[in-house]
Parts: sequence; C-alpha cells; structure tokens
Amino acid sequence: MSEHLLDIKDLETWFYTDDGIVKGCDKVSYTVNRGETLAVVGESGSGKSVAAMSILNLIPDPPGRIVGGQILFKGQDLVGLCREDMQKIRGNSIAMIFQEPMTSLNPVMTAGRQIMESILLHQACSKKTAGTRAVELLDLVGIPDPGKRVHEYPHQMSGGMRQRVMIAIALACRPGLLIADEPTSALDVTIQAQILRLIKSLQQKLGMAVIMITHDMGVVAETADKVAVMYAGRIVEYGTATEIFYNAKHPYLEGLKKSIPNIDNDLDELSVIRGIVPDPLNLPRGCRFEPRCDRCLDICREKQPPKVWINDGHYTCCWLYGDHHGA
Amino acid sequence: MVPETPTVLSVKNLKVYFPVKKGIFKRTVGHVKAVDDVSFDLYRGKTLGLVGESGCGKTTVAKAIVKLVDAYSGQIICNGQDLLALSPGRLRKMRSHIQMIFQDPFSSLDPKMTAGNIIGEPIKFQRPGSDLEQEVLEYMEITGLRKELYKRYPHEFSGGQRQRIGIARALASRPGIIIADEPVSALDVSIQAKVLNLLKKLQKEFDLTYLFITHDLSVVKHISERIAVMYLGGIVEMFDAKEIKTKPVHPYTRALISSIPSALPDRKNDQIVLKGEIPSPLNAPDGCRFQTRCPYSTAVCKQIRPGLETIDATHQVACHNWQKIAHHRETA
Repeated sequence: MSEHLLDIKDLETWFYTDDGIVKGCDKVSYTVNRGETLAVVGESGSGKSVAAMSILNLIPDPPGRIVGGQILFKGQDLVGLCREDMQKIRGNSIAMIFQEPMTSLNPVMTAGRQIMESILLHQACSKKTAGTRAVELLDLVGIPDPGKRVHEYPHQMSGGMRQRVMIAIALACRPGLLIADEPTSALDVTIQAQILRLIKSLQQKLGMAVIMITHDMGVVAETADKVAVMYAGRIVEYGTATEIFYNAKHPYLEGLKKSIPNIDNDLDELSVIRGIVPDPLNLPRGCRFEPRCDRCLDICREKQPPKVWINDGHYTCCWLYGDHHGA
Repeated sequence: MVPETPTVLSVKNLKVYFPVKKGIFKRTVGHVKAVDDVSFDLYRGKTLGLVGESGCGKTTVAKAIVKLVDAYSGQIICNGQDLLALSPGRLRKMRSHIQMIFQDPFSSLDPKMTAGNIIGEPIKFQRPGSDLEQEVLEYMEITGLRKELYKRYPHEFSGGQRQRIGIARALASRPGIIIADEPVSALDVSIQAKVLNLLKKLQKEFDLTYLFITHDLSVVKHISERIAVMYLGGIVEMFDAKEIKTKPVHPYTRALISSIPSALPDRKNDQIVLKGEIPSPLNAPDGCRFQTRCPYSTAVCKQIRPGLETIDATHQVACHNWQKIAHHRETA
C-alpha cells in the first residue's frame, strides 16, 4: 500500500444544493506512483476537477463535502485532516497549477514575492535566501532575465509567462505531487507545446508525480503514463495510456475519440455521441451513459455496471465486457 | 487558385490600426497595427479557415468585415460594392447579407430575451409582415432545437444549444456569408463535433460561404477548403486544407502544425518547439514579422518584409527562405 504516492479509494464528494444532492465524485479510486503522470480526462461536469480539488480539500464547504472514501498520501489519510495540518501539505508536498494564469495570480504582488510567499511559509529560511531561490525557480521554468522579471507584476507578463510563474510557485517547495488542472487550456498551441515540454522535463529532473486534468485527448497522448476517463462523476475506464489509446473498451471513450477532428484523416462528417450529459440531479438508475449509448443492453437500464478487468491495470465499467454469470 | 465558384467577398489590403493615445491632450503617439495589409477572397459555398494564435488579428479581420471596428484603409468588396465606402443607409441593407457567429455562447445572447425573440429579431426588422413565429420555428428546427424551447431564456440552455441559437439567429437574416469567430472553442469535444456537423450541413443546404476563424488546426482542416495562417497582423501562408500535411513551408505554419498534440501516444513527430512568444503588435519587428522566433532567419529577414509569393495555384507564402526550407525538408 505504501508503494503508491497517492492512493484514492472510493472517494465520494457530494454537493448539497437547494435542488438536491449532486454527487460530483461518486466512488472514484485512482493511484499515482512516484514520478509518473496520471491524466484524468472528461468533459465539463464530469467530476475530474472535483476529485483533484478534494485531494487538497479545496472543495467549497458548504455546499460541497467529502462524505466517504480515503485519500492516502504517503500512507496518511488526507480526508478529515485539520486545517493546520492541511496547510502544511498544501503548496508544500502537494502543489497545484490552475487553468487560468490570469486570475490565479495576485495582481498586486510581484512574481518574486508570490514565489517567496510559499517558500517562507513552509521552509525555515531567511527572506534573502527565499529571494535567491525565487530567481533560481524563474530560471528553472525558462523565464528569460529572471533577475529582472522577479520584480514584475502579473499584468506585465504574457499568458505563457504567467503560467510559468504559476509553475515556479508550485515547484517552490519541491512537491512530491503536482496537480495540474487544465494547465494549458487557456494558452495558444505553440505556448501549450512549450509548457507541456517544461512540465515533463521538470518532472524528470525533480522526480515528482503529476496529475494532469484535461479535456484534451491530445494533451493526454502527449503526457500520460496512466489515464482515468471520467463521465458523470465516475471513472468509466482506467488503464495505461497505450491501453486507453489502442485498446479502448467503453463506448463513451470510443465515441469521444471518434468525435475529435484529426489532422491525419479526411472525414466528411464527424461521428457524434448522441444526446447530452445527464442532469447530475437526475442520473439514470443504471449505467450513466446508457441513454446515449448505441450498444446498451437491458441490464444497463437496471444496474450500475461493475468494474471489469480487461488486463492487469486496465478496467472498464461496462456490462458489455466480462462474464456476469448469466446476467 | 482557380476558383470553381464565383468570388462573393474580396478583402483587399485591409489595414486596421488602433491609435495609442498619451498625455492630457490624448495625442496619438503610435499605432497598434492589429491587421496590416491582409488580402483574401471568399468563394461561394466554400470555407476559408483563418488560423492563428491569440493577438494575431484574426478576430479584428472579422470585425472589420462586419464593420464592428473601423478599418484604417483597404477595400472590402461584396456584390461589386466597397463596404468600407458605403453610406450608413446602404450599408444597413448589406448587413443582413453578412452575418456573424460569436465565440462565447454565454455572452453573445441577451439574457433577458427568450430564444424565440433572439432568433426572431432579425426577421422582425428585415422582413416585417412575415409570420414571425412560423419562421422562427423553422430556423429552430433546422438548427436542431426542439420547438418547446421557444419561450426559454438563454440561461436555461447548455453551451451547445446556445451556440445553436446563435447560428439560428445568423441564419434568420438569410445571409450569403457567415463569419464564424471561434464558434466551437468554448464547447466540449462531443458537442463540438455536433456543431461542426451542423455548420457543414447548413452550408450545403443554403449554399453558404464561411469565413471560419479558429486557433485549432484540426478543426479548421476538417471544415475548410482553404486555410490562411495569420501571424502578428498579416497572412503568412495560404494553402489547400487537404494539403496541410505536405504543402506548408512557412516556418510558422510548420511549427503550428507540429505543436498540435499527437492523436496517439508514442507516435511523436519531430516537434518544432518555437522559442519565445508573439511580439506585441505595438512594436512589431521591422522586416519579417516572424524573424524573432524563426529558426531560419537570415540578414534579409531583418530588413525586408516578405510579401505573399505565389508558389502554385493553391499555395502562397510570405517567406524569403521558403525555397531553402522546402529543399531542406525534401532532403531530410
């Protein structure tokens, strides 16, 4: 058990809204080992960010609450940790990068001071050492002329530059785990390529694990070792990147992959997944993908599908696979 | 290129400059050259894809065509008339001919109007006296909106449905040309595919001409016949969409294509990662716009700005060294 850096077991994060309970995250389990990248893919509302936010207890409460499951980080359960203990972990051994580099930096603090803030908070060192460290970090993330940039404010920087500053802040305390929530969605493709490459090289250099949350299968293909595909609050397929791309089983994943326009082939019409994502307050009783699935069976309407292991480390939640003892 | 269909709109040497003002007298101290000498033609029933990164001026081109921003100079010729020189009254008559679909389906619909009213508004002004409700319902059906949604407000719709309302509203003016500014960038992939299919279907049905603006090369390749790549206010290359893998020689186009994440893992192509970022259009470099990031830049690039050079019927490029680059690729 202790071999996993992060081990999430049956995590349930629910939101208590005026209209009822939304199960943002419904029995989600995944593990991340040292130095590896897990990509969590899904469309908006699939619960991919909720699961990641739960790790650092960043779910706004109320309305959200973790109602069940465990989040084991280096063997320690993060669920129900008191505020002070959580703060020691946040930004220290687990760090996070957010999607919007424009809004997640403080506009009235210089880049350098924002980096120093987390160093001074978590490590016993003088302001001067923290300052030198900030310059080193900016250099590490590839910002030209870091000695000057350290005194600049976020509005003086471009989007790609700001995202680099975010990464520098996240790396300030050498975290064991980096959670990147759509780190490149707001950036242009050429800048996206730069940032993905940067995260990868830093990961190799520092040996940290990365959870990459994204909706872009291209980013997954580029970065992931393992992939968890989420749909309506649950993981529908989980496996190594190779398995997910070459041996996909779940009809949702197959449909999703087909609906992405690809530069390599000529299609007149894209295939689509019919219907829309179900209302989270009113989920189907059986499989959550059943109303949109072209291959659904009678049982899909009645019961939620179990995990079916395709091979070691690759499972899907679908009634089409496996032996169900006459079901 | 030899057009198989007639030209319906032609943009000639379009320039859009935004003045930069300083001091208490608001003196103009310089210009942001958002669009600097852009020319292209749109052919009837075809799609031209305009690609580029943020800040390259692609949206400004669109806005200048529908006159949401004023052009500094140039011509936009549609039906034999220069839109930029028309009187406001005559321009208003032309407006219904060119319609726009906006990027953000959340902010481009009036939250206080029902879907029916939003779609019906252009009909009310342009064809008074027609059976409004009947026509709106027709457009709703065409764009795949159920008719019971007529009286709903925008906040009750999902992103994909809102974009359909935007499309229905554009169609309601019976336009010949639709300018779509990043119409699918705010949508999830499974919804994006549906909207792209809808746009393609409508194009065939109504013989529409599209100017499709996006930053996503895979999307633009899918929907367009021709692609124009913009960088820092100018078009750097134009080619046939089918030849996206083989034709492009401009170093920027090639970097753009290679930075699309590969569709499958461990099928890494030799990625060209560009250094640096797009310079500010306030002080664009002299000579070639791309020289600050270009791996092939030479002395001549620093002095002379390359114009669009025709390589063959379907392919134009603005680069001094394209022959060298093309040769380099063939031998590599």
